[in-house]
Amino acid sequence: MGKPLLDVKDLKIHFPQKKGVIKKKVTYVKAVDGISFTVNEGETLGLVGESGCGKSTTGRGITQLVPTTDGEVLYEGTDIASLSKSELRTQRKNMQMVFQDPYASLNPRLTVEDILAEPLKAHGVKDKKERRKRIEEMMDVVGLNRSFIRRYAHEFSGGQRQRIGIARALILNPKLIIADEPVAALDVSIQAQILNLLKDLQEDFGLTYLFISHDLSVVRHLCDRVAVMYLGRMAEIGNTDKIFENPLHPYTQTLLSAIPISNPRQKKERIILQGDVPSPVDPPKGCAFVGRCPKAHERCHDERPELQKMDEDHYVACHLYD
Amino acid sequence: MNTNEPKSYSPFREFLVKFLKQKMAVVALGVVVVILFVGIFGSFLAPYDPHRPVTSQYPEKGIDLDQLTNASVIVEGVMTDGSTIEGSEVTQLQAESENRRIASIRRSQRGINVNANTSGYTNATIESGDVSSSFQVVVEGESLLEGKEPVISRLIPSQPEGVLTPGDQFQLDVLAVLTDGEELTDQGDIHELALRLYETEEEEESSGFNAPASDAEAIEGLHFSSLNEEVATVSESGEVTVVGEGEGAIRIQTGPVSSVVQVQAGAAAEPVLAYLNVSESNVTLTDVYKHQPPSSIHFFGTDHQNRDIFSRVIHGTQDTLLIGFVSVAIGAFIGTALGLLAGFYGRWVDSLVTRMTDVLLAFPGILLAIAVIAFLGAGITNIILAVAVFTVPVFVRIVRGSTLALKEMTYVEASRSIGVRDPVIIMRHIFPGTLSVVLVYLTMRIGVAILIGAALSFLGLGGDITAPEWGSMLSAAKDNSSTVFHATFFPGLAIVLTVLSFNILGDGLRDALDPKLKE
Amino acid sequence: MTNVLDIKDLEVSFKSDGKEVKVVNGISFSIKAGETLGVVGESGCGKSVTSLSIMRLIPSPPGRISGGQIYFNGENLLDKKEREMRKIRGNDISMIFQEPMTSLNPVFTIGKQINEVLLLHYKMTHAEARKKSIEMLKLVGIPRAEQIYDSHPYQLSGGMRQRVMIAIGLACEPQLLIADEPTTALDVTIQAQILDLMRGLKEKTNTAIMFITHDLGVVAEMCDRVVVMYSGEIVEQADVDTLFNDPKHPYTVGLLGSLPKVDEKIDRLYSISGQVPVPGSVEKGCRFAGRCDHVMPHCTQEDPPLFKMKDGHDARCWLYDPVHGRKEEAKDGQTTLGREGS
Repeated sequence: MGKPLLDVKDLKIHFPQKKGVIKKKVTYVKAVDGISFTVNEGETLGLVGESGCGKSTTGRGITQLVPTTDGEVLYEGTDIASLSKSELRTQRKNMQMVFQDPYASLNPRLTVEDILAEPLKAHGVKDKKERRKRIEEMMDVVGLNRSFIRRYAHEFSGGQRQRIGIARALILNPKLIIADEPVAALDVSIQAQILNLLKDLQEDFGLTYLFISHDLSVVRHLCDRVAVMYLGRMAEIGNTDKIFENPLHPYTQTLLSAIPISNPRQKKERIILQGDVPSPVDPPKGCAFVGRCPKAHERCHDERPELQKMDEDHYVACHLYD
Repeated sequence: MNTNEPKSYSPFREFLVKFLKQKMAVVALGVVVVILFVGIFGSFLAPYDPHRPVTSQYPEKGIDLDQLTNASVIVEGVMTDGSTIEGSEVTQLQAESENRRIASIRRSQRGINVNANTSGYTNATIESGDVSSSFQVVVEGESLLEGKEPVISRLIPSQPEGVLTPGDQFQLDVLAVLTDGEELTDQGDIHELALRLYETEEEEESSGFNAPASDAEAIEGLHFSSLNEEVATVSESGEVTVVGEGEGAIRIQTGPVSSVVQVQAGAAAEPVLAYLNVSESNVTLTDVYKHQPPSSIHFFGTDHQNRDIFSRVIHGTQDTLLIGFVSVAIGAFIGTALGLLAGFYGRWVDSLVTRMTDVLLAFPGILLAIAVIAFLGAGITNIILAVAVFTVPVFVRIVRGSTLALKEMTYVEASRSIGVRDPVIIMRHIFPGTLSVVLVYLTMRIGVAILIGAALSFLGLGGDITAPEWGSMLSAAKDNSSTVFHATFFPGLAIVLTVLSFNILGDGLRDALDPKLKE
Repeated sequence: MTNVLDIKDLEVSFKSDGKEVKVVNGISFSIKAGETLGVVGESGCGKSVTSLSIMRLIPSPPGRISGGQIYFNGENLLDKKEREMRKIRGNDISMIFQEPMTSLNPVFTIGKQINEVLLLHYKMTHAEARKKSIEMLKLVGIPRAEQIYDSHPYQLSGGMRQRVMIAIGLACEPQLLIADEPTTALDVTIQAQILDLMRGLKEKTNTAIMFITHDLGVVAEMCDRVVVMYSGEIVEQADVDTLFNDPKHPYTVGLLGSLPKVDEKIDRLYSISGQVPVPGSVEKGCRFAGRCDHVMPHCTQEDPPLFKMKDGHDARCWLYDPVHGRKEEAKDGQTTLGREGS
């Protein structure tokens, strides 16, 4: 694996919530509460977790679509969080997003050409012919028929729309793609097409992916490394094979056991969790998972576990392994 | 790829298909188009001049005019030296009708205008200083009136010839012209006629203009009085005696009619006004053209001033549409801009704009408009501003609302993640999204604006109340609405039809532009 | 075992732009008492429309059941009057929807919403209904059932709401429970809870379940038998073991192949090319022909019938036709299919 491209250090994203008529009480939703990870050049890091764990917010925080509260987002050594507005705009060229909902992420009033021209216009490609040429090339790359260039986004099916979304992200030749659940809204057969496309594009353009997903099978398939998040914190991070074959954190273990296996002959022991994810406004003082953890002990209630190295490229935040 | 490709999509075609499915809206669109056409070409379409009574336009149109509702009487001043001056040169010319319910009299450029009001007789007097003449006005309504005895129209005195010296004596000769044109030369006849004519009236009425005569002698017929006793005296029979040097004058009066004879002893003097000549001493008018019912000549009939309502309604379309369109255009433009900014940037911009909007929305629309008019003064421009002021918050609110929703759309976030500038995002992704709702509201608000504009005119806040504007037409016609149906009905119908059409069109647009409404 | 539900040649049409399009085109299947039937397919395949037509809840217009019969305990539901259907809904057949956030009325308490079903179908006093409701809440594994009984939906999480929906669905002890993507909107750990719950309840109540989903993993875990739908038709049906281990229809094979596996690393997923055809766009021949890797000339000529593989295993594919299929495909067809499937 290459050198680090993106380095997230102790990232915190808190959303203030004003309560009371006279706004006297301000509580914070700790959507992301101090996470650190590195994405190396050319690799795919999967960011997994259940809804509300802060994985999408992390993605938006990295691209500065939501303001970060604390911590650093280092892209090739520059802290994105501290950039000025215009510097950030230039920087965004290198870091593009693919969104979950291919229906909501494309403006239905624009044609494919308009949508794909937007990033080019924003980054100073003024010549209309050149734009057209690049758009057509990009449509070939993502497998869209060139004749669709004048079609409106809403005329396409979900899979084709996601191809447009990917084309929009790739047209500026970014190094890093942050894909926020890009296949969650797609049917199985289309999902496979898009996953294969993402793999091909990575090989052809040497892309680095931060792949945000709740679907562990997809993550297993696509990612080199996996980061498991729970309630705004990092539970476990490391090499995909190591985590899937030897999950250490009790949460990762539950998560993996909960995946339905598409083979009726293979029956496996399932850990059924009790209760729901606690509110991120008032997370537990110690380990975030303490309320639902089958192996919780006293220390877990009081002390927040830090990530500790268990193996080469395998870290876990759990007191069981102290 | 699938070969079964649908026909190339056009958002406009889809809109059109959806719109055409709504029969009512299509009809409303047709009506709106007609209204717009009328608004633009109204001045060419109107058969009559909406500002003038139709009767005065009949000759131009070649319509036979045998009766009149108004007449202009040319007034001429005759000076003591026999020369004449035009009515406009006569100083302090006053005209008065004895019975204003029957006919009203106004000064005009060359004389006076007589307007028939109701059938009946009246005498009218014109006066300038000591001189006055009178004429008779007969207004015939649906029932013709029998002729009334003529009255004295004017007294023409003979002026003394040459230069007079104190001690001279001469007899005044008076010619009385009656309203039927008959001339009486004998002083005794005039006296008798005057006695008969004014005897009863003076007891009944105490009008100001014949007060001097009644003071002197109540039942006197023909009365002579000297205006300067130091120069000349006059006897009851009209014998003038010059007693001193200077300018003197004798006033000859009978009833409301008076003339002046200049008595000049010594040096020559400027001639003064001797009497007033009127071009017509017996004005016969009719009131049947007022409030004419709808007919083939006047589709919507005529109003209380005998103006063609059809022409006025057509002319009024322009003002009405001007109020509707311009005010809503101003309001929508400002409102949309503020709404976009407030919705997109939030924070203090939003707080400020929202607070202002709330304040404006707290007042009922018409009240706010009246307040603005009260501040700016009446007039059509101010009506437009007033309506615009209360249109702004409506648009701020709806545009802000849809901006807030659109701002959260992933494609807006996607644009931001690409590095697109805020103004570009607003113009490319947010504004087009609000456009459909703006368009719908625009159409509907035009209806409301027209209604409020008409209401303001109705209340007399539109400035010129005689202007052909639907609201002021209603306002003017409302007093007779219990007896006259068409004068209020047609302007009212025009308002209803216009407002309804714009509202139905707006409804249709909304349904056609609503992406959720597929079928 | 008797069939609780028997659907024969069901056809459902929707009108759009003046044209009537068949979205469900002659499907037949049956569910036995106590059995869980999985109905699998991608969006637009007609699986939800099928479930709504069983409940006679197709929005009409534009929709219309244009043919076939739906026998529930031997009686054709399509002949029933609306009044009779109301008695059946919620009582004999009940339904759980995908969206736990919107299927509950936010204005009423949980208790009220369970009571409503009970009071509608049973002669019960309010006190009895309350007792039964709390019993149901306990049955679906809701802790502090008495407290939840008086809560409003917004106070509950998605998983809890779905439990409440299941409690409502099972309150009248229906013979058939139609679950339309009941876990799609939920997280994996919550999904595991709900699936676990439904499995347990099925054993307790012997309710037949029609489980509609697009998730093959869930089907493998939950169902006894599976119906695979594509573009308004059943393309394959078999018991769950046969379907996952010996799929016959190229679509089923492709679907299974395109699933990423959590327990093994494959470099490249098999993917079915192209898109699901728009309903009504395929005029003749097999609806899958345009995307099929094994397409033969005959496939575009005639719509294939369901071919019997073995007992209870049917596939709608010309490959298995003794006349058209074997000759061309004997060489490589079977083997290729088999390899992709595993």
